[in-house]
Amino acid sequence: MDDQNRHDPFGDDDLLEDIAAFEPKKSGREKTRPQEEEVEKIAQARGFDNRAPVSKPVKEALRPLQFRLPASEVEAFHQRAYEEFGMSHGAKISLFRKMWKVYLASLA
Amino acid sequence: MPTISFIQPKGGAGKSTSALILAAELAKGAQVMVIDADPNAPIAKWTSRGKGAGNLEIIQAGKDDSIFDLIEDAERKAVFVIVDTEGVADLRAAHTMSASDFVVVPSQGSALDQDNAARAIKLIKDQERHIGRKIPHAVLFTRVNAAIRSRGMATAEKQLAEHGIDVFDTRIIEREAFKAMFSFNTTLDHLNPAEVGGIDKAKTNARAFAREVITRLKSLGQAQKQAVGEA
Repeated sequence: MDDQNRHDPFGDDDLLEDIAAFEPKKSGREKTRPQEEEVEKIAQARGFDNRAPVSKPVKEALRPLQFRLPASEVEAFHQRAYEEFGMSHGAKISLFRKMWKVYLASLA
Repeated sequence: MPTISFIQPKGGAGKSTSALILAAELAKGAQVMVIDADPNAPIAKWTSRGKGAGNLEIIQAGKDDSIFDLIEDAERKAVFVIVDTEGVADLRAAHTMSASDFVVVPSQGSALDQDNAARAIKLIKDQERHIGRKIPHAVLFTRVNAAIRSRGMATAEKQLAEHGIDVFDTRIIEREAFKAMFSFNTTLDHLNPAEVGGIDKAKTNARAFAREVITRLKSLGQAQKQAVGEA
C-alpha cells in the first residue's frame, strides 16, 4: 500500500511551483456568504446542532469486597451465578447485585 | 486562495493530523493560515509549545467567534486557509463546510467513521442545494495500516465507490512520525531520525497528499474559469 505514495524520482515534481502559483483571494467572500440561519436550519435537520460534546460519565472508583464463608456456600453461590448469568467474568457480581437490589427493595 | 476544511463528526479520525500534514506541506510554497476550531486546540497547542513552521500561522477560534468572520479574515491574509474542526456534529462544522472551497472528510474506514462521514457528506449535499454552489469534497482514509488491507476498509471503499463519492488515492498511513509531530511539536522535516522512525516514508506520504489536494484545486479553478467564460 505504501507503493502508491512512493516518490517517483523520474517524474517532474513541480509541487512547490504549483503551490506558489495560488494567490490570495482578491475580494472576500462576503458577497457569497450564506445566510447563517438557513445553514443552521439545514444542519439541524441533519442532526447537527449546538450540543456540547458528550462527556464521559465519571466512573466511581471500585473497591474489593472480601470475606470468608463456608466453602459449600461459596461453591453454591458460584454455581448459581453461572447458571443464571453464564460462565462469564461478571456472573458473580451480577448475582450479588441482584441479591442486593432485592434486599434494598425489602427494606423499602 | 482556497479554504480547505477537515470535517468528520466523529473524534479520533485523524482530522488534526491530516490538517497539520497538509498545512506544513503547503507552507513550503505559500502563506498558510490554520484556523483551529477544535476546543481541544491540538494545532494551536502544537504551535504554542513548539516553534511552528515558516509561512504557517495558526489562530485558535474562540467559542463565540463567527467562523465566517475568521475565514474571511484569514482569506485576506493567506493563500491557503485550513480549518480543523471538532469531532462533533455541531453548527460550527455546518458553517465551516458552507464557507469552504474544499472539504476533506477523514475516515479510518471503520463502520462508525463511515457512518459519520456519510452524515457530513449528506449535509454537504444539502448545503450545496441551499447555497447554489458545489462544495467539492473527498474522503481521506487515515491511520491506514501499511501492510494489511482490512475487510472493513475494503467494504468502506466499495460503499463509497457505489455512491460515487470522491476518495483520495493517497491514504494517510498510521506512522509514528505523524504522531511524533504532536509529541515533539514540530514538522516532519524537523523530526530527529534518531528519535523517530519512518520519517522519510511519512514525508513521501504527506507530499503525495498535498500533491493530490493541489491537483484537485487546480482542476476546480480551471473548471470555474471555464464556467465563467461560458457564462
